[in-house]
Amino acid sequence: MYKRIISRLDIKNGNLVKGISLEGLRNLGSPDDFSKIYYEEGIDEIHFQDVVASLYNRDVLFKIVESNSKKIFVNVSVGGGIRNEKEVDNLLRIGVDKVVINSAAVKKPEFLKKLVERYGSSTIAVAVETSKIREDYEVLIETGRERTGLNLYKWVEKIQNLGVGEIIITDISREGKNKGFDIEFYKKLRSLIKVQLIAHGGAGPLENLANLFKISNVDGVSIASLFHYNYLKSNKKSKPKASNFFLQSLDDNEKKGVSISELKKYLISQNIKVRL
Amino acid sequence: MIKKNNKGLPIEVKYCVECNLSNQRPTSINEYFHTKNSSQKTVEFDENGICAGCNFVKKEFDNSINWDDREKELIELCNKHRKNNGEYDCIVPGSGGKDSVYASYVLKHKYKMNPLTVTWAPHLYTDIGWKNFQSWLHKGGFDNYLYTPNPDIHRKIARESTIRLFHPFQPFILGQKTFALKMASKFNIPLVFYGEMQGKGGKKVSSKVKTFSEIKGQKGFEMDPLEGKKFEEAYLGGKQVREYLDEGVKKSDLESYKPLDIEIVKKKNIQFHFLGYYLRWVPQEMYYFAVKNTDFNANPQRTEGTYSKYISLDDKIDGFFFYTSYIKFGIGRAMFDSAQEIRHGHITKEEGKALINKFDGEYPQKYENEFYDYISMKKEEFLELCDKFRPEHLWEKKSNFWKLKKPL
Repeated sequence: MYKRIISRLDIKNGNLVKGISLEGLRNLGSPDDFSKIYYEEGIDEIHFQDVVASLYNRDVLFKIVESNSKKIFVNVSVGGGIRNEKEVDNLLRIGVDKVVINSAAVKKPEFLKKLVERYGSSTIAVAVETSKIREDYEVLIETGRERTGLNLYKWVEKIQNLGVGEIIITDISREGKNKGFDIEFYKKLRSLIKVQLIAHGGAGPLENLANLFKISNVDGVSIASLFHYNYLKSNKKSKPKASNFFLQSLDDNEKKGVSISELKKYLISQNIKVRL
Repeated sequence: MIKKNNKGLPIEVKYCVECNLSNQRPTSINEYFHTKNSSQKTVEFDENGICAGCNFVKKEFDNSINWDDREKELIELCNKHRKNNGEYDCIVPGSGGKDSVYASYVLKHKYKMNPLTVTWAPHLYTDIGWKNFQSWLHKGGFDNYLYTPNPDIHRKIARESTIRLFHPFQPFILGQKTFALKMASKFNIPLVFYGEMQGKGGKKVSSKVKTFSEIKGQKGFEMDPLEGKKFEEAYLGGKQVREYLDEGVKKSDLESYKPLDIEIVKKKNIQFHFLGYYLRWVPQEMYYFAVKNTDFNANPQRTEGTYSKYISLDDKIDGFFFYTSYIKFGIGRAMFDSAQEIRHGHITKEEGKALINKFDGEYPQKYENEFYDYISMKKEEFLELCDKFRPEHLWEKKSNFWKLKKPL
């Protein structure tokens, strides 16, 4: 089976945003510009995540996804604030392949069960945001802002038993830092998760990404800033504005990131099976 | 003429048309003469209903400031003070939060200064605050003096300031102002750098003001908080120093709060500069800088009363600072945080409003036991004080619940 490289686009009020540890969100621009490039560069899948769903009108994200699904012919998954079947229906109708549930699953696990029964495992993914608090990994919700008291490993077991087809695990403390994944952490998760396991939060050094597939043996990796900042390199805006101030302050040695094709070629050179 | 109550708060509540900030926001007060009868100044709104904070931040981005020239000014200042004989050449007060990380780091590593960092301890360190403080020094490579004022006296003043002013955080603010100056004098380092300019918080000052001493007629962060009077006449927690002494508190126990004699400040020509005058200050970018350079970590979950996870994390009393502000001014932590983010273009006015409605005024439960223990007060007493300090023009009781009369 091919390993999947997924591009994650965090959306807030129509803008592509990106933070560190899901916090301090920078406005990076229009999600359409980014998704187009990622599609053309050969991404396997695009995940749109509404990060402040509860505060804004949901139509905004819906319109972005709708216009994108007409232009992008790879798998599209959508998450953020999905709380009822009608919303799932609407998303699937405009061509979304998979819906991603997080907070609603924690608040009402039976909702998850219902979704799986109605739409099938492969259509329903669960996103799990987690952070090590004292000694244990705990599940957080509301874009990593609220604690739940749920133990990560118990929660993973539970949602797997409810029949979901995919579990995306975000390691909050590493998210946005480009320092690499905790290989042992995902290895342990792999031993517990029989369905598709996607790692998110921390993509950075290429060697670490190779180990994530070789040693942790995850099915896919979800990447945001590593791709976003690579793309931004060539798209410096000239006018200083508070919200994009960082674009002016990025000096040459701060530029980072990697393109999708560079990453894929590297992984192939490491004998990891990905689609070019 | 704006009609005000006896505390100086405008009777008619207004919200900034751009950032949602309430016109009840006090801009500053000289805490050394803050008593229950003090009248505060509040943030000014212009004829279009825009607050001074918004107008200040706009100037930083609309080309009215030449930032290249400003940086040259900084370089000149550093050249004048830089020492290459191993001695310290500037002081950076800080906590290891994002702003002090940035200030100290660029001064040392970019402008090649030799800063001494000094820290006036929080009332009660949080775990994350202590970790970030340590990480600042370890990863940034700084010498630091951490000064902890006698905690037994400190908490007594915190209790007084809660009862008299409903301002439990005041003891920290007292030292934050005066401690760095005293260290500057002790080590003969006449250059002290603070971070952000005061105007960003809504205080009406020109963006051309780079040092404290240039701010005239503004109470608050000034060089001579005693205003020419004797320390015995000043107030700590709204209670006169003389009263403490009469009750048997030793003079030596209050020494931590005694500001540096203004004559010494003048004689040694100690200057306090805002680094934010020289370098454009975007708080969110300081978070990125601190994560990258000193392994700064945000909290795992949001701070009570707001949505953010990276602002002001180090003191367990902090939540009560904002909660009492919500009672006294109708301004909670989410309003402070979101107003600042709106000014810098990170979020929209509508998102700010939604966040304020969701989080403002949330009771800070997490450290409540430690807080009540610290100020030797029962929760019931504190809640009674809440009702005592609610201004009439802001609050009304409906079916047994207090509500803001004019919410955003």
